[in-house]
Amino acid sequence: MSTLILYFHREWLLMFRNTGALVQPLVFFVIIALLFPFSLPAEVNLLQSIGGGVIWVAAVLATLLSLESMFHADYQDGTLEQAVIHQRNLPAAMLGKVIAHWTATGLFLSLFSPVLCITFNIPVDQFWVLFVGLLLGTPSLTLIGAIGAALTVTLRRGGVLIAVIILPLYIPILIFGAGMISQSEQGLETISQVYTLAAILTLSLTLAPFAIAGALKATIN
Amino acid sequence: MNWTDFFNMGGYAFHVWTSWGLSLGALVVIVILSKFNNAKIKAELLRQIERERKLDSNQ
Amino acid sequence: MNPFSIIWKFLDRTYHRLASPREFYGIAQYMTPIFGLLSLALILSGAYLGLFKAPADYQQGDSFRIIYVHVPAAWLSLMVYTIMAVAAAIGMVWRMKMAFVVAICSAPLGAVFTALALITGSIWGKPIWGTWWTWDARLTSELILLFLYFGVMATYHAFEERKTAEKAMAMLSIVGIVIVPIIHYSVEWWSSLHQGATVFAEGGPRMPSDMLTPLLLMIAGFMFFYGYALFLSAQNMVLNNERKSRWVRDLIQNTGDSQ
Repeated sequence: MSTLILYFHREWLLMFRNTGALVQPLVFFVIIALLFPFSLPAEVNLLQSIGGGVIWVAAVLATLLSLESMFHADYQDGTLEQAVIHQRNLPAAMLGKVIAHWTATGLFLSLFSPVLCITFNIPVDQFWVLFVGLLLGTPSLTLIGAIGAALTVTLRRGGVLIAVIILPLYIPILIFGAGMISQSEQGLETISQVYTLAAILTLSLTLAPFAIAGALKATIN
Repeated sequence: MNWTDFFNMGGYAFHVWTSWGLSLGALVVIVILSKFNNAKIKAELLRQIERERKLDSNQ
Repeated sequence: MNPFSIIWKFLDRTYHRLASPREFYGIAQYMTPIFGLLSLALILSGAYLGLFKAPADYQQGDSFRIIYVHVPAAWLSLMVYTIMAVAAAIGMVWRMKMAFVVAICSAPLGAVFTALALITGSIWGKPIWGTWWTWDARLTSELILLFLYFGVMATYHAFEERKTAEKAMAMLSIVGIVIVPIIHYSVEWWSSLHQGATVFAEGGPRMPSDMLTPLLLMIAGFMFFYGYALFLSAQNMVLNNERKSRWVRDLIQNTGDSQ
């Protein structure tokens, strides 16, 4: 537990020292989502019906974009190698790092989602559905994505490979997250999707740290 | 047994024969590629061994 | 000696023999003709029974004969992924060289089976559903499976050093096998939300035996084909990986001299 907090704290200090990089995923998220209205016929109903899905796709892409830098700096200066060699509790350390990374990406995106909802004319009473979905879904996105980031950290051009290996694994989260919005727009209960997203989150919280540690041990050295 | 009827497949000739042709064709291609690869690797290794033998005899 | 310990000894010996690339190469050498001939015989008899003897379906007519290549391919696509992930896990846990070889050689074969299942499914869909593609749960999961195979293959080829590539590829296949059931479940839920009734009834009508026998023959034939192709490509990979070892050199020189 102390390892987790230590790494979380360290990651926070490093991230908030570089505010420029911190806002990048958020800006990317907003821009991706706002590209859609330009590429579609200007109909309020259409925007409203696809809005939830578009925001989810934008969140997935923004998370993906932020993944490449997750381990990169630590790998460059050798910190990561030291951690892999010496750290007895590598999964906990990596979990702390990933959670810190999520607070700077997924959490920001979720908090910012109501603003995008307004631009897509999504009714106010649906805001919380998207918010809760993103809040439950984005940590899983970051955790699963971190496995891909760990696998490709030693590669010079790992960015495309991360996308190829990670995007198929994101499909369940996308389905339930975006499904929640379309369900609630039809006036249906969304509690089962909330439970499913929470179950996926629990699963990735317990298993992903070990996979991340395994991936790092496999590729470093 | 009428062969024209058989090849016609009750009007589904295109669908049935493309599916079967592609599937069995793919299996054949896999085998041919593996055999080809095998010959290539063996030839490459043989050349390498010959080269090393020549180097040894020159020394 | 009790029978259990004899079986155990046999398994233990087989395991250790399979674990050594040299022994594996030898075993594969005499297993390939057996697997190849068995697969040929099963596929030919299945094709004969399926194309000539099985009666036309009363609803789909002769187009249902696509089932005899579609279902074996779809079945194998999942089976090969499972074998790949299990082999990858064995390789990671027991540091077994040959397990990695099996996993890596399985990936392209599985991708071919998946692609075949998708293509034949879509060709079958044209006369039955009226379109080449529908976002049907099975087709969609199969498509995602194809991308998972591509990811595994891309990961292996991205690394220059073989040992790293093997381990990275193994990690990804293990992660994939955990997520495959979740993907399948989620796609099913999603398609039930989007589509009305699926074309195939749940469970489906029971197949008469003259339609079922060729299907089982074809599935068995495809399985043996997978074994055959796996042995062939694993042999190639062993030769390539062990190119510096004594036995490979002797083997190559012997075949070279005899030619």
